[in-house]
Order: sequence, then structure tokens, then C-alpha cells
Amino acid sequence: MTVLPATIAGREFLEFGQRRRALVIKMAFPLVVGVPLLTSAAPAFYAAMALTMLITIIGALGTGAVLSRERAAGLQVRYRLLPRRHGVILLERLVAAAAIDVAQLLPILVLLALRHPAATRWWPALLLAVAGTVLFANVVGALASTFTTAPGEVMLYVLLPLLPAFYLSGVFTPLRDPVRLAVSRLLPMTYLHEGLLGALQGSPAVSVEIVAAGGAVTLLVAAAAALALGHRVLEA
Amino acid sequence: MTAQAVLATSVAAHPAVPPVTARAVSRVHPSRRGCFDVDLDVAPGEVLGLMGVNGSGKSTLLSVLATTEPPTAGAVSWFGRSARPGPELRRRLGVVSDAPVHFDELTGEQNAFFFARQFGVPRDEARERIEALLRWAGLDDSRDLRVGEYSLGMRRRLSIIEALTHRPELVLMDEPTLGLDHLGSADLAARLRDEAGRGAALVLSTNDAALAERVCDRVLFMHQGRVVTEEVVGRAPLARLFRRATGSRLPRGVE
Repeated sequence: MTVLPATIAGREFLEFGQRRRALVIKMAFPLVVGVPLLTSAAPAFYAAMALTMLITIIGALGTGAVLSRERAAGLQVRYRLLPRRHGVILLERLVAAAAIDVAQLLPILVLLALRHPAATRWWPALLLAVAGTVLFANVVGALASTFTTAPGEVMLYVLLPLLPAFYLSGVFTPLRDPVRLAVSRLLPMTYLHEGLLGALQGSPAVSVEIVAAGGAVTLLVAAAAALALGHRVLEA
Repeated sequence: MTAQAVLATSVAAHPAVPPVTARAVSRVHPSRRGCFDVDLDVAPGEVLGLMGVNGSGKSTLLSVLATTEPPTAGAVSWFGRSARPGPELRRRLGVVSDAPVHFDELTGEQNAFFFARQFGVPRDEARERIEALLRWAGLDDSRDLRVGEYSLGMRRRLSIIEALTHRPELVLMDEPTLGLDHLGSADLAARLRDEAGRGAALVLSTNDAALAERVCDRVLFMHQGRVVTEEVVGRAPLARLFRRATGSRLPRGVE
């Protein structure tokens, strides 16, 4: 029996499931990076750095490229004509895309948990931080897509803000300067990186509660940003 | 319920309010092309045609009426209200753009069902209406085919189904016969007259004089972005009126 999609999220999941090749590539990509990292003796700080960058960039690039391609094909106009608020349309799309991204990352997170079973208390906080960062990255990708004329340009517009943000989040080097520490608290990748450090049994600079709170706040802020950007993204 | 009965339900709501009114509407693109200073009214149950050579501003005007582009000057009101277009207005519109775009990985039926549900058609009604429209459009055998494998004509038919399933009160179609064979074009003409018969207002951009003569009550001829004349259909062959109004011949094959 044919599955008939009624919602935007349902359509996103159905379309993703029906694109077999994309599904295989999307599921395999994080494993290619993550498995060697997690099965080797890589120091926790650097493993957390690589995984933070992987998780963030997966979210931003995927959505940015899809939205850019849809704009070029004329599909954005179809969305624009739907009888719903543009912010709600964008939010539903990005939440669905983020859910797919998290599903894509689950094997890596499971492997991480299996390799470091003593760090169980970090897992809920880490999941929140992953979900928050992925939704935030999807918002960045959606915004980046509005500056592009072709999907190939998305990488440039995604990496331009993300690379300095990684640096400011203390992903590359531990932060000690109070001003940089304060700035890092405003960036979602800080909580993801610290959560990964905790789950990898490294030396996180913040508590598990702060990582959980940072992840939750990131989720809320990213959702609000999606609602606010709906008009810009659909009308661009 | 028969397919005919499923498709023919009266619009009924607010019969006196014009579904769309434009006053001195312009939409100018950076290239300085677009449409300029257009006035139009369309009554419920009326079919208005827009004819003109490529680049005459028909599609731009339709985009403004469809709410996808705001006017750069002038005012448009839909159903008596000139407020910024929102979800309530878009629910009453059925739009077919010149390029039929769908979710290519989904089947024709999945696409049609998705849009019907987004426009608030209840699940069972959506299935029933889509069933009838797929049969009307001759797509019932290809309903389970990915739209990526559809021909241009099939895509066009699917766009028309998607625009009509929620029974809009204002239907806007840009070159709806492009890619359709002669039979498809005749079917479309009958379908559009049925839509007008239930009280929907229609605005069609077309250079298909046969379609316009079968379907339209009035035609606005556009040239270089402006409406140059308005004609009531039936007084003279549209191809001749077109030539007189625009100084151009209709494209070969559509006279």
C-alpha cells in the first residue's frame, strides 16, 4: 500500500527513505570519520573536536544544499504558496532535517557509548547538545542558502561563520581568557564539545548540567530563529 | 459518489465580493521588465485570459496576483481585503506556475495528497477527490510512478490536479496547456469551465487562442508590460484581435 504524506515532516522522511543512494551515503559518511576516531587511541580533546565539526557541518551543509537546489528548481515557490506561516513551514522542515541528521549520527553515538560505558551520566546531556547543535546548524544552512545561486556555493557560506565559531567555542584550543570564555558560552558548539569530552572521559571544563542546559537553550533559540527566518528563506 | 459529483461543489462563499482586484499595479524587475499600471477585476465564476507575446508581463502579473511577488506600486485586493497576503488567503488560491515543479522522488499520488492535506482537505475527501482528478487527467495508471519519470504533459496535469483538489475560489494558471496534447487541452477547457460553473474565478495566462476562446469570458492583451486592450470573447477571432492589439502573430500552432 502506498504511504501518503500529509505533513511537511512526513514528506521529508518519506522522500529521504525513497532516495536509497542518498540514504546509504548519508548514513555511511559519519561512520567513515567517526569509527577510526573512536576505535583508535585518539586523545579525547581531538576526538571531541573532530566530532563537533562533523556534527555541525553535516547539519548545515545538508540543509543548505537542499534549500539552494530547491530554490533553483522553483520548489520554494510551492512552499511559499502553502497556506501556513512561512516561519512554521521552515521550522517544520528544519526539525525534520535535524531529526534525520541525528538518526544519521546515532551509530557514532552508540559506538561512543559502547567504548566509554563509564560515562553514562553524560549521555542525556550529550544528546540534548547534539540535537540543539544540529538544529542550530540547520538554521545556519538555511540562512546560507539564501546567499547562493547554486548548491555548490553553500559550503563557502556555511564555513565562513562556522570556522570562527568553532575557534571561539574553544573547539580547537582550550579557553582560559575570561572574555573568550564568556563569548564561548553563547555558542552552541561549546556545549557539544564539552558534552563529547565528558562522554569520551576527557576533561570537560563545565558540568554535565551546564551542557544539558546549553543544549536545551540552543534548541529553543534555534527554533525561534527558524520561525523568524521563515519569510527570508522562503522569499529569497 | 460519482467523479462528476465529487468535483463539482459550489464555491458559494461571498458571491458578491470580487476574488481579485488590481489597481495601477506594477511589478518592475531589476531588468526594468515586468508589468506596469495594470487594472483588473475578476468576478466569481468569471474566466479572464491574459494574452501577449513572451516578455509581455503576463507571468509577472500572475505572480503578483498569486502573492508570490509583491507589487512595486499600486494595490491588489483579494476577496475585498488588501491586507498583506497570509495563510487564510493562500488557502483560497489554486496556482499553476509555468514550470510544473514537484517532489520528484515521490509518486504523483503522493504529491497530490501532500498538497491536498496542506491545504486542509480532510484525509478521506482528499483521497476521493484525487482519485476523481487522477482519472479525469488520465494519470490513474501512473499514480504510483515517481514524478521524476513523468513527461512534461503529465507534470502539467499533476500541477493542475494539485491546484484544484482543495476547490480554490481563485484559480491562477500560467500557460496551463504548455506540454499538453490536443486531447489534454480539450479536457482542460472542459474542466476549467466546470470550475467557473461552481463559482470559482479563473485568471489564465495563455497564448493558446483555442483554449481562450473555449474558456475565457474576457481577455486582456498585454504588450511590453502593459494592458493594451480588453476584449469580450466571441466577438471576433482572438488571433486577429491579438495581432491588432500587439502587432505580433500568435506563436505557430496555437491559433
